[in-house]
Amino acid sequence: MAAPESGDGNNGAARMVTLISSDNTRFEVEAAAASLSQTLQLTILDGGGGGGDGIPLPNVDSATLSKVLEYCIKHAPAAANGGAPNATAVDRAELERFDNEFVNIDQSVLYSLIMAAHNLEIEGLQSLVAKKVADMIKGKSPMEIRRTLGFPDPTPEEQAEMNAHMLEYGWAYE
Amino acid sequence: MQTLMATKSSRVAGGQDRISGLSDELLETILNRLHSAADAARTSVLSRRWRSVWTRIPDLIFLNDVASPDAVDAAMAAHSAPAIDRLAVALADMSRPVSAARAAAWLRFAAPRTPREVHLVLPPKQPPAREEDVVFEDLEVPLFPTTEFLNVNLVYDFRLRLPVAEASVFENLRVLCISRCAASGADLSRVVSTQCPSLLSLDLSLLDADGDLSFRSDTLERLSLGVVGDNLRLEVTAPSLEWLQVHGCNPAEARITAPKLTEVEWDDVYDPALHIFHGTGRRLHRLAVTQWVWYQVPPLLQRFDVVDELSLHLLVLPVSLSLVDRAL
Repeated sequence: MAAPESGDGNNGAARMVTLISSDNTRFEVEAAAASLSQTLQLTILDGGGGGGDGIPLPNVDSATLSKVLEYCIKHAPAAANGGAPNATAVDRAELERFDNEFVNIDQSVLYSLIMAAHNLEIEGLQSLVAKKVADMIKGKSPMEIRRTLGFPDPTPEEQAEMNAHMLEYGWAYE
Repeated sequence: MQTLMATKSSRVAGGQDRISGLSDELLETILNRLHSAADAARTSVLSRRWRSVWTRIPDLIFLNDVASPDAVDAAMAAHSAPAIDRLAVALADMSRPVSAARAAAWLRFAAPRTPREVHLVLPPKQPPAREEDVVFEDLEVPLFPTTEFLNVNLVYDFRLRLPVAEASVFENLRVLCISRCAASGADLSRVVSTQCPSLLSLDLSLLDADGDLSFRSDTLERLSLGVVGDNLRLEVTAPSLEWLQVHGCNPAEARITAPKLTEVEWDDVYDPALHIFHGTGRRLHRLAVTQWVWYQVPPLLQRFDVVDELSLHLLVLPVSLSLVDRAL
């Protein structure tokens, strides 16, 4: 039987688990951090991921996984406090600073991250990336959104279709 | 189940427009974070892939200062998900008033989609000079059996038509706020007392109640009453009630049975012979009173004479300032 959490037992040493990315890189992390993922938490509670086994993650490449784990390690202490009702304002401000910095990355990385967060069911991370992408779209005209998101410039045919569509959606442009 | 980025077209693979490779579910999550139905709807123009993504977002939110009733109609007509989580409409533009029939249609749209939260705030309207010129419009309120939070801030000439007694109940309703409309006191009393088994907080403000109010609730913890009514009689039996606010009601009579009451805010005239607290001890954690007659101790301070925190508002007319000075 595996202890559900690190901390007690095991001479105070935190329980570690191994995660294996789609390109076969092994990541050893504290179980508490990996457990931010609802999917991994179930496996870990069942005693998986320890020893030489490792938990394979065929849908997450090593670059994305290392980024995901960076988030989990940072957020694990607050999550262990059940949303940290007793966290200080300084702790919260530090997490917020980290989050802002964390999503200040290439769009392609953002999309890989949100897919990984979705697959691994890391709600905080999915919500953080969704908000970042939403902020990139908010208040912009369709052409500005296209440019921001890296759409190619519309063909004349597409442009005509867009114009017709915008007329139909006049209410959204007030 | 697990979907990775689809290599849908060479465009995606070429490093452009990667966002369109996300699943519909993730795009919906992102668009939902815009907290604006209009912002979300604007993405429908991006490409065919995006045309209908926004119509499945779980939150329909219209909080923009310039949001119009037409936008609400159009978004509801286009929305295609079977359920919504939140409907939040807050319109402020007085030049675009909303009729009760239109507001009722919005509520009818929301109800079967089992929202967790419903907020409906309508633009205010200038009342006619003479009260007898007011023509009331009926607003039919459907049942929201799964809704936890229902907040309606309406128009003074709307009269609420609440679900009838035989209808089932607002099973999950925790918070109910009703502002600026008219309602039958008997209907309101019945709904709160028999059709809201989970209610924790009730806030009635600028509510024109016709008839007496009698609330009986085992679950209610917070009650704020700003009810206008002729010769209003008020009866509250709420064994879990902890916080009570009475402002602008001036009830002719009040009988409040609330043994757990610890905070009272009483802005109206209080007469110990007419306004009776049953079962509440003499001690309160907090008491806030507005005193209308400056030369006497507020009588509520005699009813509750041990108070951890007292907030006393004296209403003083400028002409009597010198008298107050002398009295103090």
